[in-house]
Amino acid sequence: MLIQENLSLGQKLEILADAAKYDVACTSSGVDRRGRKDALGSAVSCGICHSFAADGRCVSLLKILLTNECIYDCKYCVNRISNDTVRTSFTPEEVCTLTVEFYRRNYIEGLFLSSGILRSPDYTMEQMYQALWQLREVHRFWGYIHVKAIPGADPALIQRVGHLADRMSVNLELPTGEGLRKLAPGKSRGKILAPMRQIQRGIQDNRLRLEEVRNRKKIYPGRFFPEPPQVSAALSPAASSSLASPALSQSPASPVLSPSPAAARPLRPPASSGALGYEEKSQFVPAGQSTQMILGATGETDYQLLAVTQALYRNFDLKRVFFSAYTAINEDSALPALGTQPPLLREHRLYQADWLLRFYGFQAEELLSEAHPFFNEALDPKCDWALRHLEQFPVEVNQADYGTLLRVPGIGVKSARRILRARRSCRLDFPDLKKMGVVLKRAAFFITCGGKMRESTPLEEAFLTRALMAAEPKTAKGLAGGFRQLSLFEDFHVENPNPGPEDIWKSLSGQL
Amino acid sequence: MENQEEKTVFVCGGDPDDILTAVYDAWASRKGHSRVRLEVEGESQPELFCSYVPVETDREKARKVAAAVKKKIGGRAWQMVYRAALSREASRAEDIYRFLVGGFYYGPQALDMLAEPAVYRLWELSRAVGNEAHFFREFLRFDQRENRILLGRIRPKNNVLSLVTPHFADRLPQENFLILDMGRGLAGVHPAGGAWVLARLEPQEAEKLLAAKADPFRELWKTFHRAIGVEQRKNPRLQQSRMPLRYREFAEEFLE
Ligand code: SF4
Repeated sequence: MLIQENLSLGQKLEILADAAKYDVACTSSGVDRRGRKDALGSAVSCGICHSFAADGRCVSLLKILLTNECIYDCKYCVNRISNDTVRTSFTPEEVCTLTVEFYRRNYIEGLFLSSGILRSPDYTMEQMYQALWQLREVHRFWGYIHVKAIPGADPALIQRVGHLADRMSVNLELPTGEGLRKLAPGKSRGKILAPMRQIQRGIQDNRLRLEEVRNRKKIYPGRFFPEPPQVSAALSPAASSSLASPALSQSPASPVLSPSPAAARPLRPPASSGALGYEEKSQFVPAGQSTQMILGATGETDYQLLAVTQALYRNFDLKRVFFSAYTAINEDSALPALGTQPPLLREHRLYQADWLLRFYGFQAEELLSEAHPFFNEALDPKCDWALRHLEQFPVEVNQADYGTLLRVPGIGVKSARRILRARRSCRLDFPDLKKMGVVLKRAAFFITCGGKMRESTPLEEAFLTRALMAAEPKTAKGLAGGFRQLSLFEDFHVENPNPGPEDIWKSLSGQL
Repeated sequence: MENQEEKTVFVCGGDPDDILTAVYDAWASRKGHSRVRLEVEGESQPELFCSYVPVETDREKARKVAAAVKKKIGGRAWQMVYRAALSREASRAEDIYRFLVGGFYYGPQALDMLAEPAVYRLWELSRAVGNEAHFFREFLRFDQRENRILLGRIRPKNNVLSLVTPHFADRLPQENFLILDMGRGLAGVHPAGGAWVLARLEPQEAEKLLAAKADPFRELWKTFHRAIGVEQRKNPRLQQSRMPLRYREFAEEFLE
């Protein structure tokens, strides 16, 4: 392993952002937190994107690894020990400086901190705890933090990190235990699910939190306590940015220019004076838990992936399950060859199906089965489902209940709700539906208004398949062109179930 | 003698207070809703057979209208009316009036009547303004000037500054910052620890006040932005559809 000393902050950032980019989750959603006068930041539950990267993905958080050193050798990962790449680590101060200074400039919504495994899971998790603790208490950062829980780390550490973060995630990586054995020799299903279960319980038990905090000192006398906050006037944000004071170079910005002494300091309990007491007061993982699975590195079917996704929502109360189309970066006989394109269309269809599970009342078994284990790449999963259930259509818009409306292609959560409200005061006709946000070029085949269809189109599978594919020109073209990249939302429009701004505002310029 | 067919046009300024005053005056004139019209000064062509009445802005009248909307149609309606008043559409004053005619009649349920053109129109205006404000909360970049003062620049189509500034005032309470609407010569000014205000300020004036300064974090941000994209997924079209060019004018990561 090539460990590079004396890199500049910029060089480190380049390496540790690059190594973090395959993690797909960059959302800042799930928690609303107003700002407070003596701190920096706030959180908005719909999430906020601040930019879009060259691949079109949202940039919301400063997504970095604490270190890209790793003792493991997961075959699909750039940071695996057997890769001959330059290794480096941030100090906790550097993480804080970047987060705070980026945040002040409105570049980011917060921090997403992940890490390779340095020395041991415990050691790594402790380093992450240090960084987060300093960010909260020394820099009084009140914005969003997403942190990875390291499988195998001491549950007590995970517990404490969870009180500093808004969201935590453990990557499931591969949907089957067999896939894991094959590609991630250091990991196992059990090792990954244990922290996931712990986080789930922690969220459920937020009530019991206070008691745990009280007991904590008994469990960990003197361990894991970072440097006390240096609550000097120079560091407190109140003093550091007065219009009148030019002596501002003493602000938290200084470490970037003159790195402060290394992290190896005695661990002491935090001084309480002036501290936010974030860890003591905050709930455990208030924005919930997420995970991600790699798609296309092993031979799993869409059905397997979707069934696992559904189980995760049901059994682990996850907020989100993310899919990451595998990018062939490592040469390995167990993996798709280098140069293989990431399966973006599959990823797109899985995300669409994920919406259907979460907001449309669909079950994985309705969408796919052992006999029909892959999504139709040419049609979105809802159209595909409707075509296989033509006996349930057409639906009368002025009478159908909410659940039935939701199953009509072209009608989304918002438009269904608007229909319910609007039809209380008048009978709706096709032009009205357009105002409600219904995508008529799809919905028109499946609905009646006052008993009439818009055109006399047959409810016939072959005809509708052609019509719906034509109504999805971008997707169809994407298929014809082979690997043209698709956005999840570009042809999804109002069928997005209840997305927050992070999903929809930017992709559709506000088409609700 | 007054022509029964003649319309009275209330001509007002373009800001929320002006428009709400016009609503008040038009309503109080008791000429009948079909015989009054509201116009924002300088944004419409004059017509024949209309008598034009200039509206003198009165914050008290505006406040009364706002209170009535909140009370009779609800907080959400008030939010929509306020946003619509910030719209760039020339017809906004008239659109608001038409909505309120139905709104005061039906009460809160008016908002659900999207099939009604007046409701739909208000909804459209309010949505466009809300969307744009949201975009600028996301894509605004602060440039650090002398003394750590932060300068943000925007060039919005609608007058969204009063929706954008409070978001940052809440989020950055201990920062001195200034957000400039480059096109309107308006600024949202927030002193550290204090309350924000709207002020007239031309961009050149602001530049004189706050000297530009080298900032290492600008480069670090560009480095990060470059590193975080996955080459194999490169997709400039998607990037552009999600972050249209007009939001990039002051976004460091897209400059040079
Ligand atoms: S544990 Fe595996 S996936 Fe995580 S950084 Fe190390 S090699 Fe990569």
